[in-house]
Amino acid sequence: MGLPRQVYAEELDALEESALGGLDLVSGSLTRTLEAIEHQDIELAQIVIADDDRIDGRYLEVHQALITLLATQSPVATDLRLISAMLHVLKNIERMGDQCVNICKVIPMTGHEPPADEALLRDILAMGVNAKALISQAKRAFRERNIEMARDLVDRDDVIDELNRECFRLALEIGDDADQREWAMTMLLAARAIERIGDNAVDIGEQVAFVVTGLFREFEDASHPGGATPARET
Amino acid sequence: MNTRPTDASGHAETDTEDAQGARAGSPVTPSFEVSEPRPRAKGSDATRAVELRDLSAYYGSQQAVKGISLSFVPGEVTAIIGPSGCGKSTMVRCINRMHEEIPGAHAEGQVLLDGTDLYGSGVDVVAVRRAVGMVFQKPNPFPSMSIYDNVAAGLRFTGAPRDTIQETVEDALKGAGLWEEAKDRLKSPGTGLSGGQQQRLCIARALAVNPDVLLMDEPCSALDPVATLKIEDLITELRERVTIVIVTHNMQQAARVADTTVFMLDGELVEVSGTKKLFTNPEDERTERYVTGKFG
Repeated sequence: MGLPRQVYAEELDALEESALGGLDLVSGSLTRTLEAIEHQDIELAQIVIADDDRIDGRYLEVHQALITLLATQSPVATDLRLISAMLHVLKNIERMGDQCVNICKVIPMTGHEPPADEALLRDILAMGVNAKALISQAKRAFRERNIEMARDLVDRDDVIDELNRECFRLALEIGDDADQREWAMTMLLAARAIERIGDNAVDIGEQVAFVVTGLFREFEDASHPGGATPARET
Repeated sequence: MNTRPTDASGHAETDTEDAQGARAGSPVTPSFEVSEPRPRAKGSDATRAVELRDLSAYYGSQQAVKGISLSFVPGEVTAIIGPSGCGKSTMVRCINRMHEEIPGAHAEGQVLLDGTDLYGSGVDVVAVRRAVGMVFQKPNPFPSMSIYDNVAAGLRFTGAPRDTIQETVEDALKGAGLWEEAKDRLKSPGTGLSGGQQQRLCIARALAVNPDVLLMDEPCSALDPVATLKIEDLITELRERVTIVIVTHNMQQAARVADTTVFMLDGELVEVSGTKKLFTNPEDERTERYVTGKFG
């Protein structure tokens, strides 16, 4: 058995690995979600819903271990900031998993062979691919404590936001067919969920900056578009 | 190097000197009056600011404190942390001139109490120690004295009238949070109290002479968690009355009670920060490594 402080350091490393591993789970879930959208695969959608328990389980497991570390090791300074950030990131991961579930819940609503619009479908899938890239980048930025990479998430998220607006325009113009309109409305819900996944990835980037600098700053403030909030010590 | 057994008798020596000084009509007039009306810090009753200027302390030729300059803000609690042997206790003991009591030890530089250099010529050491009280790691009530006499000892040496003493003892015991527990056994020996009560008795003894500054050198290290929390509550209350400097090895204690935390290493100041900042986002890499337990 190692020295207590060494064990603690190793445990903290392992928990970070485990927490960030949750992003891989989300990425896998999103991949299957996109496939279910593309092929209107209701069975696959149900698998995604069932599989969300794994993401929730990871959240609970790492969250509990972090609380135990807080209680037993009284972490301070960088360790404390890291644990605080991980608690946030875990919540982001759990929410991203839930967004995949939200999408998969609406997929069956339009039946097995809905009248899909190619352009709208293409944009939603592009949103998903971008969101997956954001998840991957957020994970790397966190692991490498790379603020520049974290901040770049905002620009890449803008692409998703623009695609989301494009989806909205396409849905408005989709025509008079009731079934197709219903499908388009459903796809807007999916687009909205993917857009939120992107936002969660940006939130993880903000936690990277907090771990590194000790200052919390929203990269983009929804209530003050176009500008970041002033940095605050927490 | 700085844990001489003479610590425990420090107060006894102080009070004895006080008594002798008073009886002999000490010719040395302190350059400040302990009981004079004091300027009040904003929002509190605390009074005097302590400032160290290029303070060094030596044990023989060995330098334990290396040219430290630091201000202690009135009405605030300042915690000094650092690994064993870093000079934190030595530095604190320079503030009430106890360091020089150790054979071969001396200090250089200035310790200013509201601008008056406590090491200046003509300063009465006894008056310094009355103005700057101290509580030690191990509770050290006078063993042959009752609870009451322990608190009254310092006052008696000043020749205070009996009824004043009685009133002050009660106030001091209340101030130290010990009155309710001790009021029915004031004539019992101070050493009959529990460790935590004895430490509060020592705090009451220090408070009785109405100090401006209270130095606490690991005051809870010999106490159980409940007694520790009582002392910490007391520190929080007392900061309204006195400027408090606490040396502690317990970083969580520093985090709980201190407004400012000072990190020392090898006799030098490494970092002086607001406590919240020092424990969440320290400036210096060495502070980070120490508080996260990576050395020390």
